[in-house]
Amino acid sequence: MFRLRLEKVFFIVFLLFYFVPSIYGEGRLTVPSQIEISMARIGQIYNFKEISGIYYEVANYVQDGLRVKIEPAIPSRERLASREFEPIPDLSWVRLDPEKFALNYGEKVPANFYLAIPDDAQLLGKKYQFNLRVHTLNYPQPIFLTTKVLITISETRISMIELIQELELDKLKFDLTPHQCLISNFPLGKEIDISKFTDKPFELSNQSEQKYAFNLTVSSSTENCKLEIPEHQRGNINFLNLDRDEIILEPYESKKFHPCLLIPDEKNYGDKEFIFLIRAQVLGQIPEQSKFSIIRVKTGEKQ
Amino acid sequence: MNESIKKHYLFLTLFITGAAVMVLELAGTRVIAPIYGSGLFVWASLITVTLTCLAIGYWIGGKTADKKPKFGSFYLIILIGGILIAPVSQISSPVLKLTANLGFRLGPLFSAYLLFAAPLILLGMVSPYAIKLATNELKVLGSTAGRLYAISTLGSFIGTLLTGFLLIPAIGTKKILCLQSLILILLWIGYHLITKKYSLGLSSTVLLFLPILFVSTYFFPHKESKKIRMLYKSESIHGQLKVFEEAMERKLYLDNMRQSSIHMNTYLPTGEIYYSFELLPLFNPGGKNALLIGLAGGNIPRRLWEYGIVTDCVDIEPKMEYIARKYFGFLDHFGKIYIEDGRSYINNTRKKYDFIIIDVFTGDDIPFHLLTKECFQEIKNLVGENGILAINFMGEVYGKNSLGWKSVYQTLRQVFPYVRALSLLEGSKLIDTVSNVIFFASETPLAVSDDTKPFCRGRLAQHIVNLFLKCELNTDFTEGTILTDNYSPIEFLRKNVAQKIRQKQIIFEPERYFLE
Repeated sequence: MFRLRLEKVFFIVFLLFYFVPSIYGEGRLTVPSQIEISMARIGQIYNFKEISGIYYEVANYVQDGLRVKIEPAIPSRERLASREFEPIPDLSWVRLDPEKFALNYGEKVPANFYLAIPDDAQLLGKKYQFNLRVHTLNYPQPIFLTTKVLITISETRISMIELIQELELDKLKFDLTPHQCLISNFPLGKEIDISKFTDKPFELSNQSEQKYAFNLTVSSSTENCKLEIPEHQRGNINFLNLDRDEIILEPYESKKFHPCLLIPDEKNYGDKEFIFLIRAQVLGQIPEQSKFSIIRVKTGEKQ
Repeated sequence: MNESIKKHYLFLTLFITGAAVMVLELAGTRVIAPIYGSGLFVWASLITVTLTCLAIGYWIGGKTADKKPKFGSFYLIILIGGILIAPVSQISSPVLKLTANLGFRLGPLFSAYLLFAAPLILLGMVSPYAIKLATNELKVLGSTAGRLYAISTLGSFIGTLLTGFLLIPAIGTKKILCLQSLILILLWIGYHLITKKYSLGLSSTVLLFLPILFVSTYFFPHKESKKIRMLYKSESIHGQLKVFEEAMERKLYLDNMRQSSIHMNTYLPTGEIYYSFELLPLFNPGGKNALLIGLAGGNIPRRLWEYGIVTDCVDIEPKMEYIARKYFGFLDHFGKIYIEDGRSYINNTRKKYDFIIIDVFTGDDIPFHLLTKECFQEIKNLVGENGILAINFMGEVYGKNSLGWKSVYQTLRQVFPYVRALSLLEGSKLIDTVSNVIFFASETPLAVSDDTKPFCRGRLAQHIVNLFLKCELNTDFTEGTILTDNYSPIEFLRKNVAQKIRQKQIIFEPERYFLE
């Protein structure tokens, strides 16, 4: 006999993998003897398969064409797993899927059950037990098996991590556009707002439900950018100036900014291609979360 | 051999061993605090262990001195004491784990005996032995004993000051114990050098590696956990501060009591209580500034920033600012940080606030002076007519131990005509269960629209705010004590709150709880 602990994100299911066999004639029928569900929360519906990753499995080693029924049952007080537990107050909390099925010899049925815990504060911290009764319908001497299901309801109403995931708020969503742009024939010796050369304005958008402050910089580092820039193409960061270095964005807000580029009118900058990186980074956050805008600039001939 | 040097060296020894006793007692509380807290039982345990061991030491020391009054034996006692202190920092973790099942009264007591009894008994033996060695004739016994006790007590005084005010916050308990062990071993070496027993003295220098070895992370690397990553650990005046990353959360603990937590990707606070304070701008949408007493990770200012509220933060722990900025993304936009006692700030500031929030409950200690009628009166003067005071209180909601929050409620009602108390445990009738109770108090009615959606910033906040609004505690009771500066038995009224929280952590989060 051993106990397997399966942890899902929000609550814990223990399955006691001591299969209760019913030896009959040459064969037997097996189900798990005990299932423990802890940290269940009020007002939630739990799908056993989803939370445990396995099915409630009934295996038939009795005969072909065995018809079996599973039903929830309220245990008598004498048959409770321990004194801590009470019989479940209402069987309507449990729904089985399927309730009846037919099995051939050696076949296993992946059954499942749903547990709906009412949103009632009086249930907080309570421990309940119900039984799953499995019995044959077409065998001369019916076989009865029981799985004890032990439920511990959490003392707290919500799990914040669970809620954050449920609301899909677990990813920080923001964007810096354009992701890439190519500017051709950029004149030397003139400071120009490069937004004029792109289809879309330079824009930082917060797609999250929380307000964030962002740091905007012209970056010389390609770390976190997944881009290799040859040394001779690396733009001098002093040539590119941003009209702001910090942007605060309310949820779902976007703000434009203007990068101005001035490449000196010198021979060695003429007819070349340079790459500049603008980085937007969430202020004060580690590990760093950043987005890049890659600007490729081809300069014209020296005048 | 110059007897005068020997005598003066004896005085120095007495001074140092006197200091060592107090260093061990003070550092001992810090060794035990992360598991058992820094409350009454821990202090009582350390004092009990120190006094009983010293008594035993005096008795044995006196008898031994009468039999063999030799300087060599005297310094051997000190050497063994020093050697026994060396491994304390390494064996403390398994010892504390071992005693955790004994509960919060016997646990710290047995831990203290197991860790500190042997060195304390040996240090106790020193004084009577030294008196015997220093006394040449009986007629000056009184003055000799008096002088030696005075020196030893002076050492204890300096040791207490140094450890409590300087060493614990500066270098932490592990290094203090290492240093103490080194100094006691050095006394043995020094004695042999001044008595010109160079070979024994110099060969004993190898023993100096022993305490260094025990604090070395090379020989004793930090235990790694697959699930939990420790980002920061530091000793402070108020306890041991740790920042962990576990699953998707970053959490701040003070002596193993959670202070703050955020979601690592988004920096969304992961404690529901932080969102409960978003009721403040819902009660008073015109509010623009707030004062928070109890910064921790700065989750509350972050959330209030969503509503355009700038929050000045006051915290008594100087390291909190660094932690809030580095690990919890506290920004200057949220507000200013002041390192000061909350009550003192309230007394001295001339600034007016729309909201004042008290969130200072570490679990172990409760700053009673922030929950008195007089303090609430001072806050009332700071917040003005539409201002609101909010308090995060931890305690039992139901049962005979629920007098804590009921007393705070009764005290608030003495000052503010409108008080609301909310707890997510409402309706459960769970006794012996600790939960947060959030108070709101004002001179004007605390009403909020049924539809919070247009006012809440984000679905998460809206969900939690709605949940709190459904969880208003029944305040139709007469129990509770009015808390005043003169009479505030709040620690007794809360009863074992910290123990209950710790007990749960030991059961449900043992890996994190005992992670060094």
